[in-house]
Amino acid sequence: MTRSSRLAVAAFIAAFALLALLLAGQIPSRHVKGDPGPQALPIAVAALVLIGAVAAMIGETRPRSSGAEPWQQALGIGAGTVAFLLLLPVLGFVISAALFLIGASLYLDSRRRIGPATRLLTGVGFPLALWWIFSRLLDVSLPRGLMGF
Amino acid sequence: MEPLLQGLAFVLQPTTLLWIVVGDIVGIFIGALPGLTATMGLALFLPVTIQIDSLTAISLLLGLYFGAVTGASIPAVLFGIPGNPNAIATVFDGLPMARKGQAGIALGGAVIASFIGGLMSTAALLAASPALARFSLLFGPAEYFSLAVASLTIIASVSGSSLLRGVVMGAIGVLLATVGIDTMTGVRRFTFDNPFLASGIGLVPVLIGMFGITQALDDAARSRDLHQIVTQQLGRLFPSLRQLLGMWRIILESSWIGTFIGLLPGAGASVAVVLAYERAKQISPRPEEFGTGRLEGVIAPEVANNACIGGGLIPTFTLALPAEAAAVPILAALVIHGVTPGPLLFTSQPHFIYAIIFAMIVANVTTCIFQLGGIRVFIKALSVPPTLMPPLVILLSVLGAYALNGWMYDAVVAVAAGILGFILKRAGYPLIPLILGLVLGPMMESEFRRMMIITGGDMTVFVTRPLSLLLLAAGAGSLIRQLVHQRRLAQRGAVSP
Repeated sequence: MTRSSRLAVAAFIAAFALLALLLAGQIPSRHVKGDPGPQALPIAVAALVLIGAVAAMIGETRPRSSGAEPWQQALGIGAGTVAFLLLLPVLGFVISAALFLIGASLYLDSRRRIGPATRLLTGVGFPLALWWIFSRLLDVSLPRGLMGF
Repeated sequence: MEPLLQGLAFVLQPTTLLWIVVGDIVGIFIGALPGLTATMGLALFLPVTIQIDSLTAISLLLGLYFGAVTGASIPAVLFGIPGNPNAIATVFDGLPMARKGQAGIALGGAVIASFIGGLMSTAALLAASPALARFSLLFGPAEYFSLAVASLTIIASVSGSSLLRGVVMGAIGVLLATVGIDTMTGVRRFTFDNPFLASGIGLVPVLIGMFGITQALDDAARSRDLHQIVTQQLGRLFPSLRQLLGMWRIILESSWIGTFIGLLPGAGASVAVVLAYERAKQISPRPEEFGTGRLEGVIAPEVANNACIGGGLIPTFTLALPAEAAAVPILAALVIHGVTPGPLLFTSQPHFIYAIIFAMIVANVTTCIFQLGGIRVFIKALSVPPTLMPPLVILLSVLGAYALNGWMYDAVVAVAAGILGFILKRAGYPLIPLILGLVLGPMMESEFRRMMIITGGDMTVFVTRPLSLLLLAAGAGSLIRQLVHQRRLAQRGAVSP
């Protein structure tokens, strides 16, 4: 990660801590004698995070070596995961999981090492097997979606 | 002698043995599936036990418990996802071992370590129950608070290269643990009138996200290496006897750590495994190689997590105080069957206690046999096309999080934790302190406030009680040691603050 990216992450943590600190200050102070109350720990740890994040931001202003690591593929898969999550209640587990698996493997397998038959078999077979294990064996109800499974 | 033989005779009955085996197999299966926890499996099987007698019921649950704890090492090693929180530390070296083509040794070593840990803690239960139960009573709110602070500071100081980032992550974990309804006053904190947020941020979805999804995104980013990751030679399946004997001290200390931490209600196996891992790192002649695929890094936490079972059952049976969440269904099974747990159980029904101890020994042996026998089947999972691995891990993680309560909320938390975990990891922030903060935050807060109510706000109690002072000193010592270490490295220009 570049220095500016690390600085952005530290700034994000600082902003998160500041928001938490402001919200923690609004927690009603309801407590018995001796008890510091429900707002004490959130205020203390949010302040600690804020101080630490600001210190990290200052630290990032100093030059240090940084190795460039690839991340573009992770961005695509991350976006695919969010799409899978959004489709899950609409299409149901089996269809959305099959779409996610096939789509993500096509995205990652740019050299097409996996044949279409294997991809289809794994992409459909794995969600079906999981659906059977969870729904039938463990009695865990998975999102059904419009198709009913 | 007669109660001992009665207990042994009971466990050797075919029906009891069969139920233990059923529990084992189901347990390994549950442990191997990310998101399905031992606690969940035990709770799901509780209704089954109502139909059978009390001792068989407890034997079944013990089989399931040992199976689930041991089985959690399978996804930890093969996919980098701990099947249960108690397999957190198994990932550190288990996954790198699998990537070096040593998945067999890691999995075989994990099972053998679990077997040893389980047996040692069973022996502890047999030998020291009454005395250990008395010692656990020394832990009051002050000691529990200090234990949580010490665990967090030790982990924050040893995770990653930056003490500052470790502390920040630990504090974020504690902050996230405060989301939800305050148990002491009923006040809502950071809930924004959302009913799901009122139930808090679940540990398991965050853990699944930060271990499963973060790892999968990391693998996807390095997809050029993916083919190499999963198709290398597996190597031999078991560590050699010489390797195991060479780790006698690590095994012994890890089983002691596991039994002791397991004994302390609220501390839990996830604390024990991390402490055992760190201790193994200290003992090892090559600590710098930890995290790169050292067998000791798998053995230590696996000994400790199974040792926690025996340790955790001591206060459950002797004080009716479940040390771990997973012990709650076992306690419930006792009560359902009309058995009153407590110190009197050891004198009024000694054959019952001996039967349970023998059932634990049998469950240990059968878990070892079934998991070792099934290792090759589980390793076949590595033959899945490599570019399918990251999406498969994500799919299992989302499914595992969803299956906890049947809530999309948990799946959303897992995905959010996974994506944030990936970004934080890339920026050099260690994830373990955050997870431990989430685990220990509630205990830290409730014990601190309880102590404050008892003393009327006098904070000196944490340093005037010897055990509490000792624990805080251990945490402070770890911070200072890491600070000095980093200062030396910074002088050489090797690390950021």
